[in-house]
Amino acid sequence: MGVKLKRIFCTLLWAITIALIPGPVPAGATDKRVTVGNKNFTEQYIIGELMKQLLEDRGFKVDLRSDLTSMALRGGMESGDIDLCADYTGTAWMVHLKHQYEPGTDNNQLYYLVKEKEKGNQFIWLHPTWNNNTYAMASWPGFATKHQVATLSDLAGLYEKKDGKIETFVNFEFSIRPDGLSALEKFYGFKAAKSTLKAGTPGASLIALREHKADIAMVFGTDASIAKYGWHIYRDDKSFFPPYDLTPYIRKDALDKYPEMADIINGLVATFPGGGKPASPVIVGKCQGVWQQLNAKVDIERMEPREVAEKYLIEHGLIKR
Amino acid sequence: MRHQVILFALLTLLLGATLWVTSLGKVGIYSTFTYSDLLHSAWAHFKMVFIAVVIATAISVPLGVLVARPVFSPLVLPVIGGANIGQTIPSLAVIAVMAPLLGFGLQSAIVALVIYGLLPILRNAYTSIKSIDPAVIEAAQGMGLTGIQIARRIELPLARPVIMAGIRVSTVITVGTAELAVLVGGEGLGKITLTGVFAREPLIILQGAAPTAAMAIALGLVLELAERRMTPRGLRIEPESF
Repeated sequence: MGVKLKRIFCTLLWAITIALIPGPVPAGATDKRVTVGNKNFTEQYIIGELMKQLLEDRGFKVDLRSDLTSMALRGGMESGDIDLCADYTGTAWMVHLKHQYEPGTDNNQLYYLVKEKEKGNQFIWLHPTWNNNTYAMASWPGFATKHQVATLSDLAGLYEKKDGKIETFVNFEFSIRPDGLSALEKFYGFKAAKSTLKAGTPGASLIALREHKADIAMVFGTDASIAKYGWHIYRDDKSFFPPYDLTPYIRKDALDKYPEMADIINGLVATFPGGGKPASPVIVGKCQGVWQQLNAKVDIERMEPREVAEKYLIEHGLIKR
Repeated sequence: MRHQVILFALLTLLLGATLWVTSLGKVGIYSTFTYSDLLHSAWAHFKMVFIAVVIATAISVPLGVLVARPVFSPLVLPVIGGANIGQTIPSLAVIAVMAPLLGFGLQSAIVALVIYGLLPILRNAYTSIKSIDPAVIEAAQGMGLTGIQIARRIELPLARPVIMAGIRVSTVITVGTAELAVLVGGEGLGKITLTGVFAREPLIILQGAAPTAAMAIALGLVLELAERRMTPRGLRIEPESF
């Protein structure tokens, strides 16, 4: 008798518990929810806002998680806390997928390599913007013409000629990265003298170049200052630096739920030079220019990334206000 | 003697840690700094500290001794008080303010370090003169010594150990503050530490922080020895306990 009562009681408890578990919420037209993430620097604030505002216009409810570190963003994508973000092909290949970069791999090849490998992680890489926000070596205007150097090979020759004694400024992290200064030196065959080599914060290398405290400094490909101060960027003629093309990618389960998202985001990419079609050096250069201008609006004109994104979307007819 | 043994043990530990990280060659995706990078940065760090402390000493010892004279007593509050207030400003702020004022480079770093290193020397120089027992001076006057003789043979020997203690404290502080010099275009071990911070790699941070701590301890020990040497024998407290 006691056993039977207990059994009935247990069954009842189970029934109540199961009844209390919420059933699947029907995904109505008004309830399309996605979470978008972005990292913690200018260009990422802009792309985050671009994707958020565009998706909102197309009837999504968007939760934007901004200001994440690279690792936190990837962690969020892996755990499913974030559905959509934009990352760089070079970062994905070397940091997330832990592959070695073969110098000479071009933008298209690296994009397809990443896209293929990421399918296995249930991530779908959409069309890329060819903005190639990679590392680059830059000089203040006049230095390059004075010494008649245009490419990194020329620059290596100049370092040799001057016994490595050219005032050089790099990012802290760049001095110890696997695709950083020492690898660059080995690849192009030169050596910067310790007495003229300094390291600092990303902002400091821009100041050093602006104040002519450095003749050569490390910058990022889409840095707003390049356009503003007319710095000479040494062409990476042997393709040492990996391409870092800003590309939106989405979790497969989110895309299965809302397949229209691919077209919406690819529509945004289509407004950039190249429009998601295969890259060429000319397209990459143009796209870098577009992103330098967008970054300049935030870094130099002090506009909010939200405004910059809204203006861009209206100008390109993606949203109406 | 006891505290010196502890400091020597700590020194060995810190240098050992530095050599260990350097010998790793690679941590995570990053390469560690080489021995020659380390030596170059350590030497640059030492040079910067040396220049800053020498300048700070040259300014604050005469100033401190001067304001300790009864004639200049109205200056005590502005000088010592001013230096006290200066010390309350965070070192990072002092260094950060120098870059826009003096431009980007070593000179900004040195000026910031001098400003920050002034107070301990100034305060000790002032106190050293003030704390001399007036009876000693009176006795000297009674013996017929002139003002200059008193300064040279009585006041200076009595004040020297206290002034040296100020220089030692200032040096140890400056070794630490000099880590930040790299932010305004200076050099030094801060380059290694901050690279570790920016790369989020604790072992690289250790590679810069450990030799900095070792340098502070080593310089502290050397100056402590000098301080002891300069103390008149009669004033030394129990040589054994040292």
